[in-house]
Amino acid sequence: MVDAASLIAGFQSLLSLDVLIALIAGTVGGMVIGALPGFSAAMGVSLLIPITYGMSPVAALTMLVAMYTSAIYGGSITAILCHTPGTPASAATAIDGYQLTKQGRGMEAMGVATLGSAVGGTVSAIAMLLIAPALGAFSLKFSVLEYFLLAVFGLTVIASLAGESLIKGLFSGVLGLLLGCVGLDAISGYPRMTMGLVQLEDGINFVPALIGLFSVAQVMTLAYDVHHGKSGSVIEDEENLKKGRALPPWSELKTLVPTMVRCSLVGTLVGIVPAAGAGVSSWICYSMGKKFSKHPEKFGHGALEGVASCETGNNAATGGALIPLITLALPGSTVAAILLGGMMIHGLTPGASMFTKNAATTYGIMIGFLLANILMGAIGLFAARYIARVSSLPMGILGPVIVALCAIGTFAIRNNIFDVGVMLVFGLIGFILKKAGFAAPPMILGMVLSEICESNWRRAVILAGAKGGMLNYFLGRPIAIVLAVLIVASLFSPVIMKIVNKKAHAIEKQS
Amino acid sequence: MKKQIHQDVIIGFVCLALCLLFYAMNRPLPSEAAMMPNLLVGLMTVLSACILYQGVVKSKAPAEEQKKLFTWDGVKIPLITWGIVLAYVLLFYFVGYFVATAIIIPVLMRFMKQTSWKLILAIDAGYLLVIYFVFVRTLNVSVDGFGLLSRLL
Repeated sequence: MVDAASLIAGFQSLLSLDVLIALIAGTVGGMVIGALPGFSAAMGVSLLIPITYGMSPVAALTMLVAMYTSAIYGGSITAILCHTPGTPASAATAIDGYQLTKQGRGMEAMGVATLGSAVGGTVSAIAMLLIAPALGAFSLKFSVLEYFLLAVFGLTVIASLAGESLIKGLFSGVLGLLLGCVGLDAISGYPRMTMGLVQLEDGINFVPALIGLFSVAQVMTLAYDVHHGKSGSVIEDEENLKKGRALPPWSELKTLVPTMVRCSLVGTLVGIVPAAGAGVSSWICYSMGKKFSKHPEKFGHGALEGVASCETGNNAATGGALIPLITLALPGSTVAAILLGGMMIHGLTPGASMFTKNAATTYGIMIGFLLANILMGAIGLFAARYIARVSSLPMGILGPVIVALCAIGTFAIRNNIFDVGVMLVFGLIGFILKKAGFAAPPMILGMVLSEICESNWRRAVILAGAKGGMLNYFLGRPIAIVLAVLIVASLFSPVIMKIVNKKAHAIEKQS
Repeated sequence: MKKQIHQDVIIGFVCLALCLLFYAMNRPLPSEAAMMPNLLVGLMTVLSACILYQGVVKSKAPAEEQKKLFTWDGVKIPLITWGIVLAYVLLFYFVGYFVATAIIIPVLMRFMKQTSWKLILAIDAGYLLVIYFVFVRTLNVSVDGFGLLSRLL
């Protein structure tokens, strides 16, 4: 239940100059950090925490959450314009966004990404304001079996990311799952596939791998293009970019509304679930967008629906992740975990006290998050025309700068040169996969979900043993049953949607 | 009609070899820790066999109709680029980020057919200045103190 007095007090706390400056700085800073390939939202927020030491809790936390949401959005800028996702959460955006840029519709893709991000973030902020305590309590009901099933649900997305060859896409996904097993075994503590390297005992760091697979491999392809006649920018026709409009026509834009609404809700729910995060949300929403689309064949070849679904989904997950964080100290993503540290530094302990003793501060932060999303949308729509010009830079300038940014971005994660080496190796792997016809996104998804999937399954087996077998344990958990039904529905949805679309076409023809 | 083996056959064999390698790496593991990796290697083996089978089927098509995935011309430039990035990482390790970047940006820009030295030097200097003031001075990313040269200085 929303406390009106605290809501007003929270709003008033936002009206001071330092909070407004923090809000704007966080939003713009996040967009810049997100747009830099290799710099994730997690990195931006963690780098910003030391700067907030001297600020008031409302100003500090507003700046951090603004940085969080706009960095997730900012990642779409280079994903769309240069096929280099600025953050892991925008990897799915690169698929259709870059195709649109190549067709001279980069500006429209940027506009849709901006609108989708703002809508997703705003809906999740409203959800956070209205239903935070209730939804937070719901996620507490999740046990290891539900986490395992959620990870499996995420894996069903692989089929829709497989690219031209389903078998190669599945191979790529399974390889990702296997690479996710590298490191110390979570239960027995035994090192697996580490080749004797101590640095690998923590597992393969996901961010350098992602930067290598996407950014380094992309620069290698850019170099090939330059040497084979394409000396200009990454876009094929710069004139189209200059003439392009900031948003697609209303007739096209209104068709994206259902996608944005659906992905806002799904993204918020995925964000609430611990360990899912914006990355998983964007893939799930992309897959959903394809399944519900009237033109799924356009996905992967420049579909605005594709951009809208993943960008709405990943920003909706940011607000979702804050709900269990604020109410239960349960971070729903990596950035939420870093934010938890930020809250502690400023004397805020997540839990019931957030809605009693610190209610005004909590509502201030939540309203600040809402405003940051609106501000992000406004700045994004206004600046899209200028930001889009990044893609008109010659490849010969973009390539070397991306490589240098990737190196510093990878190094800055843990101040570790080994991570830069991981990025380099995955760059080569990414290029070979691309040339051999294997899609890279399933590998990334596999790596993200591997640990969640394995550790929760093994814990579930142990728990099930104590509760009279897996079937008894499963049947006693209604949420697990719902998730299992969702998995089956997701597996068969392409067939179901094909039948539905066929029937719809038949009705259209008849009428 | 000329016939030749489709590249997917070779890719299938490479995938099978990769499965063998992973299987060998997992052999010394206790059964509990090896369960998931072995299951995944098993799945990969099945998928590799499918890729191999598809390659055999595709090999029945005339050579002219087959899409070549790997050609020396297609991989030469990307591999040289990767080699430059490898040199960059080694330089980063030995002499530090700023010296390595100051060297590699012009090298890569020249390699990617940027001919104007004025532009190359302006980009190089501008990039290093921005990184220094934003990341080292403002955000305290300790990249300036890394590398053997930085330690000696």
